[in-house]
This record gives sequence, structure tokens and C-alpha cells, in this order.
Amino acid sequence: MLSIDQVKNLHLFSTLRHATLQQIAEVSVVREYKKDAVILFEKDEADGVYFVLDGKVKVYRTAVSGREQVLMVLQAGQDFNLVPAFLENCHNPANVQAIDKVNLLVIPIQHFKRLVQNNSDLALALLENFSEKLIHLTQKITSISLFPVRGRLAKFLIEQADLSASRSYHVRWTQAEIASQIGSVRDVVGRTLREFEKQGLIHINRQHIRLVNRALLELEANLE
Amino acid sequence: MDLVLPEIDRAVCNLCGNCLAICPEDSLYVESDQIVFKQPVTCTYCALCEEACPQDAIRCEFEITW
Repeated sequence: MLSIDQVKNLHLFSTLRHATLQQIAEVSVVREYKKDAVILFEKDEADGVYFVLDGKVKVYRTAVSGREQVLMVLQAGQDFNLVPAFLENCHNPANVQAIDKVNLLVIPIQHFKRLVQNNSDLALALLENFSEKLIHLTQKITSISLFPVRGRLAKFLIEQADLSASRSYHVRWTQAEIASQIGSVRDVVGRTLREFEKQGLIHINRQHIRLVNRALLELEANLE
Repeated sequence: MDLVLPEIDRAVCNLCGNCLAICPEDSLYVESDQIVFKQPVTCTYCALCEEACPQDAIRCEFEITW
């Protein structure tokens, strides 16, 4: 059985009472997935709610054309597939794939529903969690609908360069992966990166995009 | 240090030739039913081959930093 501390480390459960944590630990199982393994397929019947214990996963949807839109990248402490637990049809709303080797805590849907019915602290934590997600998705829709690709790409580059400065490991992106993050397509990202380089905003040198003009990039991203 | 080149997934490549056609340095050619780098040193890692590949068989990865 999982320890109370392991359960409490998960964002959704961090403020819960000891008795609620104990009940969660009793009905949870741990599943391990290899890098690139597909964890959930969109529209399959949902079997549980999931929490990332370690590693990273991406949540995405795919159009008939094969175009992929990444909705979120989740890491240790975060959760996915909570929504189907409270819907009649109980289908997975999106695909989920392991970015690297991951360990997940899984709670079968019927158990999770019962936990929410019996523990008001969990119900309140869940409302807060859903509210945060609603705000995140509203911001994403606003970004895609109101800002041009140049602005979305500039914002993404700034975010990634800032993250890169704060972590000890390397993360590399292909143009296709960048495109799926910002709601665009590969060739448009490639063309826009070349425009940025010509305009002196970035410098591209083999496997390395170096941002050289923060002020102009922030202007593009509408962050000033 | 080894020269970093675009990664080609030869199991996925269908030899359509789009990457050969678009490469501004003429770095790629077909040998024994495989796309290979004729003169690796001429590749500038511009990633146009990745953009042109309809099979998503070519990967050019970039780290983003200040």
C-alpha cells in the first residue's frame, strides 16, 4: 500500500485530512509505464483517475488529419482523467502518453466517486482543481484565438528559455513538437523561426535556439 | 566532437525524396534504398528536411536558452 506521505505529495490531496488520505491510500494502485507508452486513448471507456508520482506525461488530442494538439504536459504531483468520473458516459476526454518513464497512482472510478461523496475536504479540493483547469484552458483558447503564431511562438520561446535556465537537465524540441504546443503546424513554426533569426530576435546554431533580444520577443508575445 | 545531424528513422522513411529536393546544401542522397548524408559537414542543421518530410521520419531537436 502507498504511504500517506506519497498520497499527500499529490497536488489535489495536499490539504486533505489524515483520515481521507488513509482511505485514498487503501484504494490506490501504482502503475509503471515506459517512455512513449500510450497510457490512455481518447474515447475509450474510462477506468480510473490518474496522478503522476514521477516522470512526465503529455495530454493531447489528435485531428483526423493526424495533427496533434498538446493540451498539457504534466509532471509529478499533477493529475489527469478526473472529469470522466463525474460524467454519465465515462469516456477518456483525451489521449495521454508517457514522455519518459512514469509511475502513476490510479484510483478506480467507482472508488474515487465514493471517496468524494464521503469526504467534503476532497470535494472542495476537487472544485479548486477544476477551477484552476478552467482558467488554464480559457487562457489557452484566448492565446490561440487572439494572438498570431508569431506571438504564441515568442511566448513559448521565452517560457522555455526561462525554464531551461532554472533546471539542470536538457530539454530539446522539434519544430513539430513546438507546433503542437502552440496550436500551429511544423512548416509555419520553421518559417517563423527563420523570420525571428533574420530580425535578430534569436540565433539558431545546430540543436540550439538562443534568444538574443528579450525586449523584442516580449513585444511580439504581448508580454511587455 | 561528433557532428550532430538530423535523425532519420529509416523504418518510417518511404524514400519520397522531398528532403533531397529541399536541402539547400545538397547534403542528402539515396544509397542502397536509404537516405544518407553525402557530406555530413555540409549540413547546416537548418531543419528544412524535417519540415518537408511527409512521414515525420526526420527529427531535428533544439534546446531553447537565453
